[in-house]
Amino acid sequence: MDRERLRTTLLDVLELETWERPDNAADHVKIREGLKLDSVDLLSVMLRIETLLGISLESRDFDRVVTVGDLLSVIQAKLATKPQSKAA
Amino acid sequence: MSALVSSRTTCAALSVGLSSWGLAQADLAAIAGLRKCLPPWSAPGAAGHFLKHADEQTVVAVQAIDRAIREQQLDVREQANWPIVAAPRFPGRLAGIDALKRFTTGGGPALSPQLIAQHSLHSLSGALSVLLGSRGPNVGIGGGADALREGLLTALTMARPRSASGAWLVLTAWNPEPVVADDGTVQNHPVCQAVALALSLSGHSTQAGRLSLRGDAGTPAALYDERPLPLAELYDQLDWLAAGGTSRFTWRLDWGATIVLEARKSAARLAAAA
Amino acid sequence: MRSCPVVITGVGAATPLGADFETFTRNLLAGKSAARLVKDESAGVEVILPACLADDPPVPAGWEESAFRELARTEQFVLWCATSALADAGLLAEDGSRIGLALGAGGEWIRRWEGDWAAGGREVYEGRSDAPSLVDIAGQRLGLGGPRATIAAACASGNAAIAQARRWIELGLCDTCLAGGVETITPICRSGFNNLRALSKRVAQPERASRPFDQDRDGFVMGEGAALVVLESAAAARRRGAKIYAEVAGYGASSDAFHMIIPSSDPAPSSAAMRMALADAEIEPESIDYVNAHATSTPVGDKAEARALHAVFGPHTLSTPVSSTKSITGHLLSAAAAVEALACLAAIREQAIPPTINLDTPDPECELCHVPHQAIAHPVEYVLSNSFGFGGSNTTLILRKAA
Repeated sequence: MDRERLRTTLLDVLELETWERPDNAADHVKIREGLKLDSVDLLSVMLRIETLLGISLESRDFDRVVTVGDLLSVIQAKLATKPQSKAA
Repeated sequence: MSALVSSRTTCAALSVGLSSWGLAQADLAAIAGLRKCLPPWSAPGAAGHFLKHADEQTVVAVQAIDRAIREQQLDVREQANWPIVAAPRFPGRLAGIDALKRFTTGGGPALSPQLIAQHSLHSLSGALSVLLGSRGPNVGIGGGADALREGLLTALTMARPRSASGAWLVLTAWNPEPVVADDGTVQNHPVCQAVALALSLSGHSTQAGRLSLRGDAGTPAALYDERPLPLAELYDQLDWLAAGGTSRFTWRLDWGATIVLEARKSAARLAAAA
Repeated sequence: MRSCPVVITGVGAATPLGADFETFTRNLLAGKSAARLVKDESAGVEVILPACLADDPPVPAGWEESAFRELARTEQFVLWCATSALADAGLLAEDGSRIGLALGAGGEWIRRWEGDWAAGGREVYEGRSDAPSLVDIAGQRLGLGGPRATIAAACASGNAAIAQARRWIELGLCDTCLAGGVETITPICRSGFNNLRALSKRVAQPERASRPFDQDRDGFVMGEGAALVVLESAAAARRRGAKIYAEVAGYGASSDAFHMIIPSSDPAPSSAAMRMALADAEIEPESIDYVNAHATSTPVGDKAEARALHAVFGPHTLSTPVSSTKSITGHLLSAAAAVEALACLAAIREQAIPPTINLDTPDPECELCHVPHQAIAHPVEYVLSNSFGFGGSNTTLILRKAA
């Protein structure tokens, strides 16, 4: 999945979780301050992403996630190593 | 406080005023909409989706508190150290049904991470504490069939910050309890109800009534409530109370005491909800 | 001086370290971890985690074993602890005494519904509104004639229950009161916390997983069990020549008003609870001989508590011994504060401070007067026990050695 399509997916999930669609989800935007997500919100978002994309994310995967760009990179890396099979 | 003789030791009579009270009820469809309605007094740090995962009884409790605040125009800024006592009856049952289904079909990882935080006995009082921005203690009480009496008792007797001018007591329950089919659909038409009482600890305000506990020395056990007044009836009687009217409710406790709630409806009309 | 000092005269325990105070104390001071691996499986998905489970409690006096074992495990814990605490206090056969019960329990009904469903029942679907609660079951079975309530402040429930019991005695609502907490951890409970990423994943060495204040901590280890203490007025206890474990000298409570799960990074609310307790006990921080920390082995929570301890103890922080007995017992959730009250009683009785085990490399952001690995002999008169919980609850209990 290309990065921009992934960004749109992330925005869709954010809207589902927080009832708000951020105006700006550029790579440099910070997850906490910019998207106003706390760690539990982020966890809920990640669980939806896991289910949607059929990947598994561990806490250590997003320990260093600070910006939207960091998050997209983590997800892309997981997708790249995902076995080629039908999504869950 | 006056002392009343009861059994071996002395049971103090206790009484606090009510500075306000409020009611709210909603069915499941209405609750879905109310999740997006944070009251205007909500703490600035509370996100717009704060109630998204909250238990239904929490959502309706917030509305009851809002009614109580607006009824007497209470100032939330004066409640910064108010204790909060919340007494839900069977909280988390619908979430529990969902959890059992997810566990069966998807295993442990399928459970919502919000399950424990939002649907435990402490969750309602914790949520109110965050929304009101109140740093007084918060406790969940009861959780079972006798939650209402346990909540009244605890609110009257709990230790509290000396400087706290008041406290919140919120009583919630479904009426009737939802009956759910195996596929998760609700088969009856339950309504979630909440009664919020703003207690006045400074003793000055009894404009909305009074809550008291007294000892019942020598009262035969047979006179104690086999069927104490449930929340649904308390709700209905408060709802029907005419402006300027007062109603009195009693609950006998099987260890030798009676709780009395006198509720007064203000003469001024409450403005229609926004 | 309080007008009605309240003391502890009996103890009942059903913990991962043992089902009586002696065994609990011995294992606690030996620093013997109770953690082992627990495996849950559902829908073909396994979840394996370290956990501290309690054995089935002994059968209390007056029960047939088969009938007792038919009860839900939570009920068994409460009845064993209540019966053994009253027996320990010499009050089991007491007539005419009003005995109350303040029970810390946050997930009583969800656990009950899960247990019923696992046994093929449909209680969770049907909404049976007349089911008796744990406090009612214990009250009826033991003939407790005093006030009763289930009290939940998440992991602070036990402290809140002890404080409520003290209050009832002070107000004259009862002569004696049982107080404490209970927790049983079920498969859904374990996965619920696991999905919050709150639990340690150290499955290779479960006994090393609970490591509060250690820089390599990665989450808490769940525990289960119960503890109840008997409280009564000091005057009544002395009149009947009761053995006194300690006085409930002080209590303070506050809320973060910040988040349902994440503790506030601002130490002010938790510090306020500690200061309230100190004021209630009419002592200064330097009078505290031992702090039983809440510290659960989470990266965020342990640091927050360390900050609050510094704020309260100031220059005395690095000379006031601190340990987290959750390193040994695990985190017993609704029962945690009550079990930690037992740890405080053990410290008072043995004049020794239990250790924080697995504290190999203290986190520099948790600079405290740690007691790593082994218990130490130490004069103990006043003990301060912190318990903080979801929903932002902060509670502090201070116990004092009986004069």
